[in-house]
Amino acid sequence: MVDFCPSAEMRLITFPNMLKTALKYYLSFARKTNQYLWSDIAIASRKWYVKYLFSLGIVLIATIVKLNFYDVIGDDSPFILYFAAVILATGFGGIGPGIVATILSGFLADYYFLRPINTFQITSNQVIKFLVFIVECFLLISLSGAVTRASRNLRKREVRFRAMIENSQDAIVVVNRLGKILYASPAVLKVLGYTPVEIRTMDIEANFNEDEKRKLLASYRGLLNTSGESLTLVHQFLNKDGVWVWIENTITNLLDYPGMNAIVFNFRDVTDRFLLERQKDDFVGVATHELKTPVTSIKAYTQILINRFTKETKPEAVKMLEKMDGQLNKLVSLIGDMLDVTKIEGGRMQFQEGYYLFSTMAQEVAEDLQHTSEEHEIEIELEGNPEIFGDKERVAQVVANLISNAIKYSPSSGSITLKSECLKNTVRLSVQDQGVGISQENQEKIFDRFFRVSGPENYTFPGIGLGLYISKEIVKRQYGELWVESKKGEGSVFYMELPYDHRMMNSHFIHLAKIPQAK
Amino acid sequence: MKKILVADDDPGIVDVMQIVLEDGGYSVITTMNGKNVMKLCAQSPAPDLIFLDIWMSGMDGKIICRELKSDPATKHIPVIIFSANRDTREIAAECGAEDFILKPFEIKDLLVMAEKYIPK
Repeated sequence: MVDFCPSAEMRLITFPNMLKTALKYYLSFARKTNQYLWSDIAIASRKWYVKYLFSLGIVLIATIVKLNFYDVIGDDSPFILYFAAVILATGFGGIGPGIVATILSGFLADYYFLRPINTFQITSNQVIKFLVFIVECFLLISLSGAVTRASRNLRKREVRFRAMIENSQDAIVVVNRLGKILYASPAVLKVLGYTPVEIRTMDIEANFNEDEKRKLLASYRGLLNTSGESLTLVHQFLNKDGVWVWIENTITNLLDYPGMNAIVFNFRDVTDRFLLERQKDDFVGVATHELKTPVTSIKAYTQILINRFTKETKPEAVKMLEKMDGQLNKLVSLIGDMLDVTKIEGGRMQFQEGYYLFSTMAQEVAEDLQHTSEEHEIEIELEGNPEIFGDKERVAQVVANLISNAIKYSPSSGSITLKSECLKNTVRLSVQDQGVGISQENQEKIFDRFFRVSGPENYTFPGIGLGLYISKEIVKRQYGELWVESKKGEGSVFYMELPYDHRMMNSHFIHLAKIPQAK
Repeated sequence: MKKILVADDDPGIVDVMQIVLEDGGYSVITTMNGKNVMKLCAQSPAPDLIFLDIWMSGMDGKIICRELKSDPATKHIPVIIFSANRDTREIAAECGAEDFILKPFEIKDLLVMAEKYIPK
């Protein structure tokens, strides 16, 4: 046979293939056995008398088979086949039928297959054989009981966890490294309006807000590199009814978690909460706006009076009115701070961005503030005049805040240095004073909302603790960094670093990575 | 004498602006109701400059401004939006106003603004 070519069927006959096939059948048999015999649910679903009848029947079958093959098997191994009967009886009916099968097998083996046969007599050397059989059977029974219990516990636990996840009001979505959705819990229907199947198969990118997408993606990519970390984002999502809902989304990186190797999204609908907060913000916004109206007219009246008293040469009155005007300016800036905080909290701080000259801006701010203090001298050392893309007025607000803090917290020392440096991707501005300084423990907290240094000296310094918080938020939203270096009693240096053009996101990340070394 | 119209729903503001602008040598007419703005502009002589608040009770300042700018009889009159809102600059640009001024203002800035649009 020259043209012999082994077909698939032919190949089956080779020995390894036979082994493979045997193994395949064995595994499927074992799986079925496990499913039909040892599964606790299967055992529990059977009637008790069926289990005991099965146990009796299987022992009788074993006996009949043994008697028919007596010539082949002989009586050298009196308990052969009875093991199989006990195993099947236990597997089918559990511990009780297993014990019944053991006792019955013992009697029958003793009667038919222990010499002298057809009696219940046992000679002394057979007692050991008999006892070993009984002990082995009990071992089998307890082992099968343990297996059943373990599988029951495992299933119970799985059922419990599954119920927890499937009934959680939070939607849970599991995504692999490539962004493919592996699992979506039923709650996604409630939160997003799409069924888990729809979510798995649709292109969800279109359901994100275009403006938010870039920011969300940047945060998400950042998370992918930090194993075990999680972050919470609040963003919008277009649900199935075409309504934008607000989602609070906690994302956890479990890529390196054994058995999980995925990203877990845990999210809920916070639209109601969000709208309520917005209502509150709107209220504060309107309230502060309304506060500004009377202040505006008081301020104008004060200035009118200053003009009139100046004409009438009444310097004492003019001086008092000028102080009043200064106090009104403080009030105006406090109202402005409150408005800013409300906007920050509501995520609605607006930025009007364009190109501006950094050093010109800083210079103007410093000159303006120089007028507010006669005891302090602001030394200006600005490098070049780089063009920056961002919100000039907001950044100027930060610089003004840093300089006025430097003035405020250095009551006895006169020199403040405003310096700038052009780095590779960023410009760094520093404001140095020789004032009271900030202790190590407070250096992080001073950027927190409402934080004010407590201690005997805080009575000397007015303020409501919003300035640095607002500054930090502005700088953060301009993709920069704000930090402090200080020693108590030796003054402070505040640093602000801003990218030349924050629209180049990459430079932003390089810049962030550099900061810890810079400190 | 150049004539300026001040429209704001707050009496304190209207009063103080009248004093400042009259001291500055202008003739000032005022209204606290947004609906009167168009009527006052139809008078003869028409005002040479309008200071207009955005948040007017009864009528939105933006709508008034657009109306003024779409009417051939009034569109040549410069409108200066003034408000305590930080977005005033955008609002002014949006509704076609010539300029804006933020509340609270320094009175000299107010006079500078008037001088800019109606040089004496």
